Amino acid sequence: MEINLLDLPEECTATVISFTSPHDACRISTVSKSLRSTADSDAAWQRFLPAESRLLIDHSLSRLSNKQLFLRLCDSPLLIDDGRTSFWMEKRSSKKCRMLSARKLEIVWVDTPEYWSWISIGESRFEEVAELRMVCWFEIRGKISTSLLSSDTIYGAYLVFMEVNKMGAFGFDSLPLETRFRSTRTELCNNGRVFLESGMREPREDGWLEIELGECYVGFDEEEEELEMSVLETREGGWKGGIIVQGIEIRPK
Amino acid sequence: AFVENIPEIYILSLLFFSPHFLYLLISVSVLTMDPIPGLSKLTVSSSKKIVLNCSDGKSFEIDEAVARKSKLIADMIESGCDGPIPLQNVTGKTLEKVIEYCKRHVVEFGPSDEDDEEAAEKLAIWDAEFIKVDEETIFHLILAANYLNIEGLLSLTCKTVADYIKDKTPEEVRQIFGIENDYTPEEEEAVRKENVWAFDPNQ
Repeated sequence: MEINLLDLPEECTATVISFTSPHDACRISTVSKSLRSTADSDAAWQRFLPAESRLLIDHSLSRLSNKQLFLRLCDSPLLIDDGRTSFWMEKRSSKKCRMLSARKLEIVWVDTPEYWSWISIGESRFEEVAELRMVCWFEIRGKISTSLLSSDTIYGAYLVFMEVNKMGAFGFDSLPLETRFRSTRTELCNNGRVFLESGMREPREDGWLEIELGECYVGFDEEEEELEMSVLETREGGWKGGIIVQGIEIRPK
Repeated sequence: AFVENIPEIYILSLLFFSPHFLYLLISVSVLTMDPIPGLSKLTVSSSKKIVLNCSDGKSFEIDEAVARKSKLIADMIESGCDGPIPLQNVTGKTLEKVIEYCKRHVVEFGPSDEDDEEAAEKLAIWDAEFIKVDEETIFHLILAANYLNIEGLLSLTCKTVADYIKDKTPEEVRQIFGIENDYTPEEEEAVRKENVWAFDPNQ
């Protein structure tokens, strides 16, 4: 090929690399010593790092380069929004992810101690999680602005929970939960029915469980809108409980 | 005979209220004289031309609006540069292609019968055809777009080269660009370790 990347001015090579992906940029730094500093440069990584990330981090992280900050955001979620939201990046796709803690959600009856209580456990990334003793009316809702997510991405929403102890969950087996992930602008809905207790829940790497609430597409540069997610069982009215809710995670599918 | 039979007033009204007639009227008045100061700025065909001189002696005369796609040239015009602009770093062949890009990307005012989305799609298709050139030309276009500071062209050309290297192994990238591996084996191992996740097919 006639083009030699090394013959281009460094800012051009960095621009070329910025149009690849974090994955490619890391590989390119192993191509040659001469390319390494360009491949690791802030200019090459600026497109992978969301513009607002510098505003979200605190002083201790501000000296990291764009590449270091990107990798750091992928490896350990950042607690933002007064500790009520967790923010991180998905490495491969460089897309934004969030988990809304239970405190950020609307949980009906959550302030009634006979039904729900706020506890702190070590396994949670948030200070508090919501423990369900028992309730008839099970309703959890959350919402997120698309301005906080990456464009041109299909996002899935997942309820992150665990059982109070082994076999601790009860009352969910016979009753399906109605799930929904909805765009308020287009009114496109993704509805579903899941059973919390049986095989529809998935184990997660962090030791928690999750059930999918649905998926939504976030488009390009469109007007900011709110996505709403919900999981309900408010029809049959049977007693259910024995779970701990950490939050709702929103990540690319 | 047909025209004579229709009352003049109808013909006049038809002509007068036709937008095409108004456009014609304005263009004509600009070419002959400038009756309203600043009127020339309102028309699409600005009469101000800019001359660009290339490194190999070739000269190009283009509309100011087209020339302004280059931030470098736009700044020069703003700071009062009137005469021909010398571009030592660009050859005639490359500049011709750059001008072709700028002409197509000048925002046009006036009635159009296609909406924004359709227009953007057409532009994207044009860009894709435009960039189907050999690597040496792309290389020169990158350098020219960088020097002349034409954002759209720089993005287009860099994205094209980026596509050559996406998802390639380091060895393939070396071969494509004729780059020598100047790492010692230990250095190479260390830098690969540092970036190990990029080589993991599962991540």
